[in-house]
Amino acid sequence: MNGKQLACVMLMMIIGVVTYTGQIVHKKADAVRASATKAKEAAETADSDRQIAEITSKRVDAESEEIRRFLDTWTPQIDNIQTGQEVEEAVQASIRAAKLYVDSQKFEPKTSGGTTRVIPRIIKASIIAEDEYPKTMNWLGEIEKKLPLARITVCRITPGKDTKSIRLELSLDVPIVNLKADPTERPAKS
Amino acid sequence: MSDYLCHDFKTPRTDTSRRLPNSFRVVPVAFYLAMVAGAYFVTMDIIGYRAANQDKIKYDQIKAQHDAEKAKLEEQTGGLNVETARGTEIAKWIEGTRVMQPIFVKIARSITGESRLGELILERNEQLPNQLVLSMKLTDANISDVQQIQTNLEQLNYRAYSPQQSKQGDVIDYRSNLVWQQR
Repeated sequence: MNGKQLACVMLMMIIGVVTYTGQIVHKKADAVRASATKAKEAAETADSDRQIAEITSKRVDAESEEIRRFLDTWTPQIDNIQTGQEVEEAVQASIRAAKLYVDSQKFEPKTSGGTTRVIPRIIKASIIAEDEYPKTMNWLGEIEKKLPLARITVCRITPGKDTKSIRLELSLDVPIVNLKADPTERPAKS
Repeated sequence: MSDYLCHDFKTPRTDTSRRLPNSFRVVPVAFYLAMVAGAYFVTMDIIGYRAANQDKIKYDQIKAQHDAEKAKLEEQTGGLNVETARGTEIAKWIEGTRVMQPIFVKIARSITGESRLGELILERNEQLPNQLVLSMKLTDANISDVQQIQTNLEQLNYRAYSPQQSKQGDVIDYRSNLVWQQR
């Protein structure tokens, strides 16, 4: 092989190397372009998802406004009664204030049966009172006002021992509300 | 010295390397073209590579921003849902806490004349706590007294459903479901 031929071979090899390098650089650039396009698409999808989340949030906000306002209104009443002792004290204070003659009173805690996380416990109060009709009725109204969350389950009124008095047998459930509980949370599997 | 003598010392010789074939003359041209084209394309690709890299970083940042905003919004929605669920449970409970004292007072005021109230029971339905079961025993009363009680209870937005009454001697035994209706 003479010098000219050798020079030609060298040039052809350089052409090959340049072409190969060009191809590699082009492939890399194409790959980065493709990943940039993917990143753009992902950003657009994320934007679309964000818009959906924003619309959902606004919708839920608007739909739940009334119930949340309702909850806000009741929160002070709920915060007032947080223990069984507070229930007992409230009932006894109202009895003392009304000077009502009470035959018996009983307070016992019971669970709500796992049906609700927000009301995990209920204080069941059973009161038997016998006094004058207006006094007894006023006390009943007062206790319903004082414990607005209390649910009277049974109330039985019969004539008392004398003509002026009535006998009241009252059973009421007072919920101990836990406003920190998450009712949407699924119960843990045991 | 004559030319002839000179030829004695330097005799004509054949070429040491042969001429390249004509097709090989394209090789240097191709080389220059390859160099120019290679430089152009590589430069353009490097510029494109850098731009694409910057775009990728920019879009990744935008995506991360959108994802963060979405997560924040979802958290807000979750919070609202939890609060709504709490409110719903409280509302369900409160639905069954309507006061009973006005019902007793209303019934007591409805009793007039000779009739007397022997027993009055209001019981809350466990399954439907907004419904009450009213049972009462009226002595020396007549049907119009019972109707008067029902009419008076309607003023408190309570409607008596499936009323049952039986009379044994002077005593009327009355029982009905009271359903509260918003007007």
